[in-house]
Amino acid sequence: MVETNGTLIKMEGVKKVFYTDEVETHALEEIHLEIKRGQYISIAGPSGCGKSTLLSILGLLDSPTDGNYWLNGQPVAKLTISERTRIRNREIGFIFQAFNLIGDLTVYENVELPLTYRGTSAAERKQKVQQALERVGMAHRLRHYPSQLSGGQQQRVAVARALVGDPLILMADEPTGNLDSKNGEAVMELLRDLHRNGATICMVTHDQRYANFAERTIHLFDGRIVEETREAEVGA
Amino acid sequence: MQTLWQDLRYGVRMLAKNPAFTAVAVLTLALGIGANTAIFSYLDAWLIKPLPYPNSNRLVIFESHDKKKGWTREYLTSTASFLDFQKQNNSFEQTVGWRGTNFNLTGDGPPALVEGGEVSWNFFDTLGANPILGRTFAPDEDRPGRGRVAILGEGLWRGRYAGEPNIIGRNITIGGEAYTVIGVVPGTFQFPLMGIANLWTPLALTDKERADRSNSTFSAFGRLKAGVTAEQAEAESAAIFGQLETQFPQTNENLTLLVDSMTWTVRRKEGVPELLTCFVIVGLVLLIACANVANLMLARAMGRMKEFAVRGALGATKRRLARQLLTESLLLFFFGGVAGTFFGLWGVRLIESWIPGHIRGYLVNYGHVDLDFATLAFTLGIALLCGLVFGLAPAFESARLDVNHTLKEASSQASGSRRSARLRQILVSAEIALAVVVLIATTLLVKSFIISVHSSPGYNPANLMVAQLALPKTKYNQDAQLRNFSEEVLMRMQALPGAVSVGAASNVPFGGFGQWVELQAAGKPSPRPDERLYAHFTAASPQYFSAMQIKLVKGRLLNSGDGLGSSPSAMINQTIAQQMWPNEDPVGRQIQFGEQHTVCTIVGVVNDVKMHELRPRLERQLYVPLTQFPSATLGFVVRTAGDSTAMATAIRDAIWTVDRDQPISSVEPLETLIAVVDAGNRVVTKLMVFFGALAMFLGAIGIYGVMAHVVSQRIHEIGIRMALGASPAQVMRMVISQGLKLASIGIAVGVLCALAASRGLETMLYQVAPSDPATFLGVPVLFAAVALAACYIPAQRGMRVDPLVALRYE
Ligand SMILES: Nc1ncnc2c1ncn2[C@@H]1O[C@H](COP(=O)(O)OP(=O)(O)O)[C@@H](O)[C@H]1O
Ligand SMILES: [Mg+2]
Repeated sequence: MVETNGTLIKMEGVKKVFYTDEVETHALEEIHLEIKRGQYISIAGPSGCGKSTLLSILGLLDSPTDGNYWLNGQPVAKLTISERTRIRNREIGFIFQAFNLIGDLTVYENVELPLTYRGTSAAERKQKVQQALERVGMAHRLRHYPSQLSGGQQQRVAVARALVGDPLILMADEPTGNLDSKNGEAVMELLRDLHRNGATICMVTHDQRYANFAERTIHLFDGRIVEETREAEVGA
Repeated sequence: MQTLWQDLRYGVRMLAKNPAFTAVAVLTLALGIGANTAIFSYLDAWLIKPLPYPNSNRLVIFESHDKKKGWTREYLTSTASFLDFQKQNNSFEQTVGWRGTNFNLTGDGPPALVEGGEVSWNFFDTLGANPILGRTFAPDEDRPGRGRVAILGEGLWRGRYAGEPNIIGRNITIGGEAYTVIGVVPGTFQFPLMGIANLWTPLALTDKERADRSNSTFSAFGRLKAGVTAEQAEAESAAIFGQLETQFPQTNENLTLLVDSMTWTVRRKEGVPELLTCFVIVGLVLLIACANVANLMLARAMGRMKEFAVRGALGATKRRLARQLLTESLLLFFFGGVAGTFFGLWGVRLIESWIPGHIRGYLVNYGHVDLDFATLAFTLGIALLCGLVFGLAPAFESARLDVNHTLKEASSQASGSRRSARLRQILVSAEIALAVVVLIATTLLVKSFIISVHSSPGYNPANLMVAQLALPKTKYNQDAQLRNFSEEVLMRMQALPGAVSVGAASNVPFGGFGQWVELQAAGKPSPRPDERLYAHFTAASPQYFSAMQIKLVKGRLLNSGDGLGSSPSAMINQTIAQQMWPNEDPVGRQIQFGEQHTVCTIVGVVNDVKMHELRPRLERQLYVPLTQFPSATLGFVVRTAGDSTAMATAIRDAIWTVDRDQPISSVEPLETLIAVVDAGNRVVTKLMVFFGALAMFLGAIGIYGVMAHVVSQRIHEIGIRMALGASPAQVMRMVISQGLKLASIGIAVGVLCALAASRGLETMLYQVAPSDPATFLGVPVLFAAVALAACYIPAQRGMRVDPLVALRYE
């Protein structure tokens, strides 16, 4: 799965404005961004600067007010709702700060969900779920419910759910925000592992330590990209 | 006091803030409570409240009983024996003879037929009726010759005599003879065994009648002395009749007099099975409504767990919280109760307007049915209890919960909320099961009704006018007069423009007259008493059959040849033919009937006709020529080409040309006569349609409420699923299948219960099996469709969840 320099994501002049009760919030302004296959990029910045908004647009959960966005060479603006749903299901894997596992479903069923929605056969589902859980080290907890797991374990299950369908890119919004530092580091270690094996990752964090795990860090302030650092520079 | 005011204000605000919840809860309560109260008000008036007479528990009716043959009749069979009993008994304060009579009233306007009765002098006193004008009968006024006095009902006095204040002492003409009005009794006085009576004269028995030991022409009731039980009275009667039996073995063998509570005699006649069925069904509807309310309150309490946790964190005591909830619930039930009262009142009036005029007089407390406030309180109380148990319990639980825990729990499901979700699902399944039982029961009854209405009556009732009258015996005391009257009227009717064919008969289907005779094949030995056959008896003119369009099956119809000079002929219906000559041709055989054992030759067989009710039942029907057997009661039938109602005046005029003093009971389309007789069934059927719809509606609200709640609880989860790639259609399918799962559990349980319960309806079902497959398949399918529709709105809401919003606000 070693990738060439192919561009996976390209944004030009992306802008996002929220209108609420006569108040306009300019969450994003003039975002230019390019992410290549296999890159590990982190988005950093203070609270409220627009990190989650940017990730939602990247993950097709939201649409920009203005500007252009190509995913895998395809202009996103022209997609229908069902095409967006399909892409979210097949090409994007989400990891949330609050884990967002479904409490009524077992670990196995939670991980299985994305495959269920794309109509994968039961046998194949079983095999893939098993593999994904093995990769995050949770294969021994298939029948547990989320409430029976620690926070770190829950987030590992969430990571398994995000990668079970072999997405093009993993989107993680402050994946360590609800975890103590020990568990947080374990999850970051897991993401770094996945990246080493070729995964493209886009992660939001406001924790400088974790931002450093990525090759590139984009710094947002008031909805604008103010700085971009590369691993090499930081490490120097 | 101040906190109460504060609670109230806050309560109103909470209800106003959630108008959908408030509207659904109030509507559910109003329908459930209102319907129950309305039905129970009737049950109370007819079956529970005592008869409207002082000490009515001491009133009993007398029944003739044959100890050997076992029959019991509600009238007397031996006048002389009853008079002996009247003299000798020590059990009764009063005994009263009575018979219902239709009086011919002439003068003061067009001749009219007035329902009323001939009664012993003490009739009114025994029933405790006080006249609004004049007096009641005096002790010797029921002697023959003395009895030219009459008492009017308030309705007749205000109607025909325009409430004339000087009516007392005036002469009126009854049956061609002058009677003096001595009193007017109030319209509130009624005697259900007699119908809508408006005119009473004394029951003046002649000496010959008084001496008759083998016959009687009236019924009797009595008032027991205080402290005497019905059993003691019956024992005394057995002793007296035992003596009479030895004294007059020929007439009194095995004869005795039984006493039966007047209250129960009246109640038995008031459609008790139908009323009880209605009551059971509304009871189930109330349960459904209660389950709904419980569900709503539970959902609401669950939705507010967090609010209560916050209030608790801010220092509100458990008592304070409970009082707040209680205030809100009481407020809600107050509105529901008020709406229910109005709905119930409206229901009572509506049902009253459905009750056909001709049976009103036979109903106890007719016109005095009021909303029963005890029931209102009772039903409201039950609903309140449900609401409080299910509304307050979770709140107490939330108050007990660790406040911090509940606050942190956020939208992920706490164990308490999961338990209550299960409880809600059980409630809604039970509710659906009940609704299915109600719907199946009502469908069976309605189906049976529709089948009975649509099955052929054996004649064509469309475009047919019927004029009914009874010729007074005083004026028409000879056969020739009777014969002439009917022939002349027929001739004039025949000549009416628009009359296609006309006929006359001693009684017509669904008319006011009827006669039964004993029947046997001629020449056979007299059958044992318990093997005697009786047949409905009609003397008809030859054209009667073609005018009615009754079909000839075999032989020939009666014709003008079956007249005075020739030997008597008769026609029988198919039932007689099949029962008496199962494998033989009855035409040409001889039959004998009645007390005179008149022998007739059977000339033809016609199809069976429905005479008294739309539910077909086997009845032997015998027809003889009107010329050979003239009748004082007559029904003229006139078939017209088109709408027949316009003929009414012409028909009356035709009769009055022949006798201008002859009152006409009614001139009405046959279809109207049928509708009137069938009105009781129609009332029940309308109620059934209403209750069935109500049950379905409440069931639908129940599913809707639960599913709407489920979806609102699952918004976050749905958001996750959509973020992971669930399509809107997949979300919709998920919600709907969850709803349908609930519904199908309820439906399955309901069908099983209905299978067991519908057997109780068997006696009320006609040509519909209690386990009618069409109903037992159709109702579940219908209900599933309704459940689907009820899930659709919440499912759509689920479909429209924006994952971004759902995930942001958790
Ligand atoms: N749906 C929304 N409606 C209105 N304002 C929003 C919405 N989502 C985000 N915002 C606003 O946009 C800005 C960026 O929010 P967000 O992307 O969540 O910030 P971050 O994730 O960096 O903390 C904030 O000011 C926030 O209040
Ligand atoms: Mg954020």
